[in-house]
Amino acid sequence: MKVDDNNSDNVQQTVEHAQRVINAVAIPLETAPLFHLMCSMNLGGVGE
Amino acid sequence: MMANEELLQMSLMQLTEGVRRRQMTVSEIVDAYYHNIVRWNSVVNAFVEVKPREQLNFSHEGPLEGVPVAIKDLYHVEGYSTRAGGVQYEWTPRTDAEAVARLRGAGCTIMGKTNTHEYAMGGTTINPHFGTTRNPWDPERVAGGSSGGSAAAVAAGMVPVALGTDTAGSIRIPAAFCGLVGLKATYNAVPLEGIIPLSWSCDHAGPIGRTVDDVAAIFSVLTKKVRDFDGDRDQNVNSLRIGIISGEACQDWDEDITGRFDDCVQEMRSSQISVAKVELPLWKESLAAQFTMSRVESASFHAQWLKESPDKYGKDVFQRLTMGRQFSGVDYVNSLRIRQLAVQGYDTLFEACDLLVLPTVSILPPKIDQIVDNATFIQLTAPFNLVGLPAMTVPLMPSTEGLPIGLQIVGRWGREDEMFRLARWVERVRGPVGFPKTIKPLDVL
Repeated sequence: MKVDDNNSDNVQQTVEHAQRVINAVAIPLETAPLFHLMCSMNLGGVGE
Repeated sequence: MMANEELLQMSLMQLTEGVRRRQMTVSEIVDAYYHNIVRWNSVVNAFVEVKPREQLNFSHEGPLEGVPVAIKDLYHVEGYSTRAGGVQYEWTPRTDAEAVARLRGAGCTIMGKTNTHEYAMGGTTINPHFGTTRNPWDPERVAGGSSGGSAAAVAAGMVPVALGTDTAGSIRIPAAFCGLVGLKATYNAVPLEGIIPLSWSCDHAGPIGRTVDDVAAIFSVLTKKVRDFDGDRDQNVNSLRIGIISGEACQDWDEDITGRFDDCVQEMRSSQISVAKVELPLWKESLAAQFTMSRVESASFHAQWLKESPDKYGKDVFQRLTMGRQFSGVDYVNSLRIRQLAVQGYDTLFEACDLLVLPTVSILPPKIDQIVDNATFIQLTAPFNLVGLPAMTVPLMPSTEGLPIGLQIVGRWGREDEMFRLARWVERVRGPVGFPKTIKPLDVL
């Protein structure tokens, strides 16, 4: 994916492209938003 | 008294040991590096603020006594201005950022503040307010960004180590472009307190240095861990299972980068290291989610300045902030849900391997006047900011033109020690990188 954000004429196009990619993902209904990375990790937090 | 040339080539451990044994003084070490700041900063533009030599506060005793460090101008450093590469505000804090305080507490000497892409929001460190930081390996090329000043300062022999920040690749990209080791530690392993945010949930902090041991030593102090500072001397890499990137993310790489990466993988095979091809889970989707979240979060942080003084931003950064205001709440929440899926994908990936390797950047450092879209810089680095996994870059053999190329090593949550082990092996196989030939930090006037 190229999300070209260097081109000022392309701002809207870039945003729309990112939106298309995000909204095309089949996210299972039970997938909750992940607000905090450490909460999600099943590996015991930072640095053991 | 030791010659400057000798001092500049010493590892952090050699410097601190030398001070302890009274073979050199902290003042001699600082002088040697300060000499290069005075001599080369007008060419490289790595530092945006340096105190006169006599105003440098010397360190006290500690495990890193005598080690000069440079700090990216996103961190608060007592007595220095914080401007974050922009002109929306300027503040001189009375206290250090937590990471800086830990370095100072360990005996480091702060040498100054380094240049950054405006508000850390770009991969070149072409800064409309503080000038362009140039790559010491070829001053016609960018140093990378956004921690370009920190990387250029280390590569030019102005400091042995520096601190950077990384929201989409901003430690790893300039470190790779400047032939250095750079570590984006596990999310929040290096404290973010006292650092101007770009994107709260994707921001990471970490060190840039010349060798894996130097970076591991700084990481150890930053995280108050002892294990790696003493050196995780387990050099056995044969017990590690290495995932080699494959699939869609391997498109459009520079030929030299593909060649050096393939050579490295071949060397692993020859050394009986277990390797297997893996694909990055939800690669495109992770890039889009990281892009959306970081743009929205930065637009939130900058909301008031965007309203009151939009003309004080450079053109590229203003555009990026403008994008952040155009995403919807649903876009942001769906990005958070994609992050959850990506985390699960990497959990599965790391059941089959211990480390993942891929190039750090898919292109060689571009010329300063060459237009490269920002997405090209970050396509191999940003996914690991989304999921918070530790990732570092270590130099491979240079390109046919003699330009640096970085290998990226990604580890499991909190397992920087395994990354250091493989990175040390890469260092041993490759041999020393040395200093740039254009900028000659070792020349004594």
